[in-house]
Amino acid sequence: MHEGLDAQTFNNLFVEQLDTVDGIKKTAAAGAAFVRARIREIGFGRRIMPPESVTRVDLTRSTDHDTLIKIVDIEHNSKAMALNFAGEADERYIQGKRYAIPFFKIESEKFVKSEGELLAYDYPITKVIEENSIKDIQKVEDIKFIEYAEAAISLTGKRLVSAATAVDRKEMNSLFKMIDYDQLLADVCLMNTVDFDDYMVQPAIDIGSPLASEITVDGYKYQTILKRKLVVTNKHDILLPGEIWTFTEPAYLGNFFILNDIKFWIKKEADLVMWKSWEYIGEGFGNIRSIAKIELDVPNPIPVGGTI
Amino acid sequence: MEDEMVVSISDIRVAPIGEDLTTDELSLSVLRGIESMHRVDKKVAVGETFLRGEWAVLNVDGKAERPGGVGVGGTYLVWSGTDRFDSRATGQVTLIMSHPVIAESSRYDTGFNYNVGDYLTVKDVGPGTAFVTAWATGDAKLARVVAVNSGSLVFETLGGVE
Repeated sequence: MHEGLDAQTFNNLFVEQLDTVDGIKKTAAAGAAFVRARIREIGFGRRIMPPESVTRVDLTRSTDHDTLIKIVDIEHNSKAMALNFAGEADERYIQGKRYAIPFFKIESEKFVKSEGELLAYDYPITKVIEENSIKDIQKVEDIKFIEYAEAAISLTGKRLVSAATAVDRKEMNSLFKMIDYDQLLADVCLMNTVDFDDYMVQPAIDIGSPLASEITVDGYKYQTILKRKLVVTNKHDILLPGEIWTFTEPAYLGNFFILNDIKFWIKKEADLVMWKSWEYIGEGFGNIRSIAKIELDVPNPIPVGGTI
Repeated sequence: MEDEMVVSISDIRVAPIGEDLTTDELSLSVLRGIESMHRVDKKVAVGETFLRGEWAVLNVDGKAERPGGVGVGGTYLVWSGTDRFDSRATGQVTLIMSHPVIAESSRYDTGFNYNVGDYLTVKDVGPGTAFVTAWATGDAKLARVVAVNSGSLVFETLGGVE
């Protein structure tokens, strides 16, 4: 739990204090803190490109409609030259490039429950919020994250298709080289749990006997793979088995902005309690060369029964 | 009556972006002569538009318009086009009205193979074109090839004496 708030306290705040104006305020504040804390932990997009808070003054309006964008600068190129003493380098009239990140809203459904039924829940109400609001919001974030990443590699062509049916170090190496060869540095590796399972059954002849023994007992417990940060997700509906991504450090990748902060709203009308969460975010990859993907020929769907 | 709603957004510099922003902008890069070149604003003839790296001729009113079918003297490189807000405000484009400058541009007629030393002219060689192309007898010599790069030409401007 976040900020010293245990499930019991939160339950009390949530149910018992909703009959007063002050109680509703406290509940909303506690709910917002909880949502903020949890959403940071479970979205893979946020672990790869941590969000940055912005306020209205950081953003620009559109002349055509009532929406907001943030304009982000891209570092311009430059070069030096080897010259004779009497020579002079080329001139460069600097032309900065920039791009716009449009903001949009991600909002949970508005949940409604009677006070009595809510009390019948025998597990923390925080869990209800987590299952019904936080996961839904951060899932949309991750969907957009992958959608934008797909758009980037469709332009750069940094997409390898491999006939390998399981990931191993050789496939990972090929993936990272797409970034490293481009004068960038692959910093993060994103894969789903199915591929991670495959990675852990590599034979000792490939990964060395000590590591193979260790993995057999404890699993792969390191935070890095081939020196890259490892991010593993179970969201197979967003990241299909066999699809492994790599990204550079955030500074060379793009931007993820949150306008103000995630909001949590709660209201009680007679015996009905209703709540919802929403946030305004903008994300974009300013450097499309900083993303690469390998697609393995992993059987899909993964057999979940039958004979192997 | 209400305006029609915007149903599509085509700006490739709005995320998810549609171009590699880390590449050099090669529509026009002046490699030598920026400091001394004459950057002159000229009114744009009605209905005309110009991009940086294109060329413009001056009509009888002294306004910038796109070149005709024959390369003529008095054809100038566009340093700042009509795709900018300042041009929209002033109704003018900024032309480079002195020579020589050495410039690199990705805006050129790709229908020819160029060699260093080839003369270039500017004429309408197809819908919308207003950039350097191979010189032919009868055309003014507006530039000469200095280097041939992948996707761009480097040339020195000659002033277009016919």
